[in-house]
Amino acid sequence: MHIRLKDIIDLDYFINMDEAVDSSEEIHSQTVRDRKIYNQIKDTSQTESTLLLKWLAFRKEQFVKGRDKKKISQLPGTVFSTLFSWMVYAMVLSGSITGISLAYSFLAYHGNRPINVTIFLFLFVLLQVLLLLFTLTLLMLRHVGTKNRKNFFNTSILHTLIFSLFFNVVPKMIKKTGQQVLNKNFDAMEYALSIMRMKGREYDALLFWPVFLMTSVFAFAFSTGALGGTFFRVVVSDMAFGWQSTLMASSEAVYDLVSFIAIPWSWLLPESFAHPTLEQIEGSRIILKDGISTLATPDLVSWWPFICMGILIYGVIPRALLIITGILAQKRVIRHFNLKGPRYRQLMARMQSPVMDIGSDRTKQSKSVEKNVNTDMEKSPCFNNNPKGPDQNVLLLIPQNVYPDDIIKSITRKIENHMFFSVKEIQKISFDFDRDADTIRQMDQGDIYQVILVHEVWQPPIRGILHYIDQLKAIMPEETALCILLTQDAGQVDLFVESTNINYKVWKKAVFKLENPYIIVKRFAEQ
Amino acid sequence: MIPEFAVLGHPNEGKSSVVSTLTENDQIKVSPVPGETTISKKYTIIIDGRDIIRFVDTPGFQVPKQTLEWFKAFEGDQDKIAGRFIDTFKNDPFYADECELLDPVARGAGIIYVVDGSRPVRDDDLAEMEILRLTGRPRMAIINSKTSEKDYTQDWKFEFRKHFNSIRVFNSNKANFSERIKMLESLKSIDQEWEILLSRVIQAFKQDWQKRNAQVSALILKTIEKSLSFSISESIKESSDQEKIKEKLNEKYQANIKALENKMFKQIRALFKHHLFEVHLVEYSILKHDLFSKQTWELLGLTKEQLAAAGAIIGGTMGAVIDTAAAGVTFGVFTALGGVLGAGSALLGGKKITKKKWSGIRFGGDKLKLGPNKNLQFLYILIDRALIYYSHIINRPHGKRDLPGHPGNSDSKKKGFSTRFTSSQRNICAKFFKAITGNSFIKDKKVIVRFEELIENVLNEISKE
Repeated sequence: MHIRLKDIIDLDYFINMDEAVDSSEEIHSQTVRDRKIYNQIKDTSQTESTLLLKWLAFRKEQFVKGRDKKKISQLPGTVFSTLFSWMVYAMVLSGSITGISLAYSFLAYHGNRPINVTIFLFLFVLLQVLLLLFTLTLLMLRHVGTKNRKNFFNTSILHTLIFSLFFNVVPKMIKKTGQQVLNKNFDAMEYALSIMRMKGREYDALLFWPVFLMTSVFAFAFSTGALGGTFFRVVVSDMAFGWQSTLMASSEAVYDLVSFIAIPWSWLLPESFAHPTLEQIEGSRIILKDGISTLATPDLVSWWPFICMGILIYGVIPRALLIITGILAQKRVIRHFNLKGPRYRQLMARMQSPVMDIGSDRTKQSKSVEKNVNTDMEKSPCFNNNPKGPDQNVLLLIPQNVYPDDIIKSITRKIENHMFFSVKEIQKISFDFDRDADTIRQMDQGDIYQVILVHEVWQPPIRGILHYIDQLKAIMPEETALCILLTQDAGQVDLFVESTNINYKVWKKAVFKLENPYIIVKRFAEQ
Repeated sequence: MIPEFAVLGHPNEGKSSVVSTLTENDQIKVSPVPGETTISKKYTIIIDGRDIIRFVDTPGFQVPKQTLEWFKAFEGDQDKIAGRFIDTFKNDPFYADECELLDPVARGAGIIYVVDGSRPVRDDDLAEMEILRLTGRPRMAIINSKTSEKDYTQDWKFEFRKHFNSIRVFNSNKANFSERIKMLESLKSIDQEWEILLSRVIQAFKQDWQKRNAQVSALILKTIEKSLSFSISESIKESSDQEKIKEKLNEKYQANIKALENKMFKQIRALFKHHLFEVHLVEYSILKHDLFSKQTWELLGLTKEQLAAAGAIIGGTMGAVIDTAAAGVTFGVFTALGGVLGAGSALLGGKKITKKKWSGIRFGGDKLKLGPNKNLQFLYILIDRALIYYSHIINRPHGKRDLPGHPGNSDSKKKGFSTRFTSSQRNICAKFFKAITGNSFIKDKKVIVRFEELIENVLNEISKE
């Protein structure tokens, strides 16, 4: 099963929806649903990514069934791919029109002065070559940047400009013109775009190539349009090309330059067709005071095959190659998309863990837990059970002198029973990296699936703490996630943090800025 | 040099809110999101064109542990430790906030360390306190409780005693003028050198307050005078629809009185430097009710009889009076008549009487005149509304930003201040009323002066409450 970009977007959408769920009933039904899906697909899915894709297919099917009740009628992935196709068409159309009209108007010849070949070549060949070189340099820089993990291209003005053009300006134009046409899909488009805007940095690798393809398609259409326009002019009208210079450049020098430019195709075509001969160049030189009546027609028309070949070889073909490269690179990036990130792993854990149901009235149960988590949690039958999920060990980091022992116990139980992890070790930390690092390093991290750092939500994510988190992550294996589990003030009866909690939002934003997908923020939620 | 104090603390503890209240500046951005203040801002209090005291709002500590580590390792002149820290890290973005917040301290400012008393003490706070202790500057700690849900004041006090010269509980969401003065008094004790300067500051604050009260009482007097003597009239012909004219006049009269009152409110607000949040100010008070609504009068504590008399105004027929164009001097009679009719309508709850009587009067070539109001209760209503407004304004701290969980004062049944007036004060009011609404062309100036003094005294009393 191959994953597509639209699948990744939809997967993100569904996971986002699941994460936004707040009430214990909804969380329970979500767990039950995922478990059901898993039971249906586990025999036919060998790998984790197939499992995820099949889960996605199930969710899509459910979405289609309940579409009428929802705010959006199309999934963001579908909307994105539709939008992308539209944009490609728009690029083709605008590129061709610009190319054709520019070439056609530039080649207007009224019999009194031949078209200046030098300017034409500059505009349609040299400029294209320069732009091509610029694109190649950017690609190279990006490649180097990605390898060195510097990502300077991502923070560049160009990146911001291109992304805002495609995800802000163009959609706004579509919004203005196509509101009627889009009708119900409009909300989905907004959603898809907001995801693109918000996750632009996170999904940079995925979104870079679509944007690159769009720009390449435009350039390709422009060059093709220019070539078509020129060819059309040549076929249907009487054309005359000439060259002129004040610097009295000799015809030989011009001949040498022209032969050099024509190297890529001169081996393929007869010399007289590949580029004008020395005599023809000499014969098409315009000297204004002499007028053009002295120039011979065969010399004046001898330029057109050269011009057309120039556009084809330096404009059209390289762009076509770039498009092919873009498509291949896009496929490669999608193929290598990491479906083992923390978010997906969480879903996997939910699917693969048995659903625990205590068989009593859920509403009453959850209320009593909420009322007094510190004492009730221990008495609650819910916490006497210890169903083992997939055997995934976590290391629990607790700030010293903040959480009393009984609270730590209840947090541990909560993690084991509701997040389906097995707490392998609990480590008290001081937020002094030098002091904590040694102890953490000494611990056997081999079979640690995730590190959970418990923290009070009201404490603002100051630079010192974020720096500590960053340092902590750096000494952990790359693929081991660091989860910051936010609770209310440790001395409080109820540790649960609402999804609307402003401090929780501040934390999410601050950790997001660390740009490390393996550092995640979770809240201690009622479940 | 004027006394300067840097307001320091962890992010989101209410530093900006404290500065806002202390400097009476409600335009300082106060945000529930931590880290909004990124650069230090100076707020100087100027009285009579003279700078008298300066507070500096600073960003919160971002790397207290690392900063403390440096402070502890520092070897050199301890007096210059803050300056040396800035010199070392001024180009390091990691320490940008610390450099910014320590800058006023390095310049010699005193320290006001703000904490939120509704949250527990944590390691970072201890690090911050230690940093401030190591700066060697005079310092005071303020416990500013942002929410009333939890109270860790005792824990904070315990820690503060080890690090600070003075401790004060100062709720920037509640503190009024006297709280601010007490706060400045406490600042005096943190460094003897500042005692004289701060005494002058306190003196200047008190004088300024007196001046504002005098201005408010003049404003109230002016507005009441205008409101009481205000009248409005319109010519009527036989063919005119008297009911419509009467209604129109009534509307105009009420609109004018309200406009006068609103203008006064606005001026009082400006005097106390409140520029924002007007909506929240009136939301919970009697002031949200219309000046002419029955509820206003009831809330101000009028008896049923008084209310009946006041019905002259409430009933919508405050006393529209027919006045012959030729004999304008006789209008008093008709005003009284209007009052009686209005009172009747308020007691009996119907407009019938008024309507019936009106229809029997001929209007040919006459003028329909409304006002001046001859009901003494109207004076008390005006006084009370002005005083209640004043009381809200002076008790609303500039740092208050109506955070969730702070719905404001729910004192909706607040009685008017005039119900507490002694008989001699009532006597002054009655004489003043007579002087303003009476027929005498030469008003008794002594009565007016005594009335103004009365208002000013009441204002002073309210400020002390």
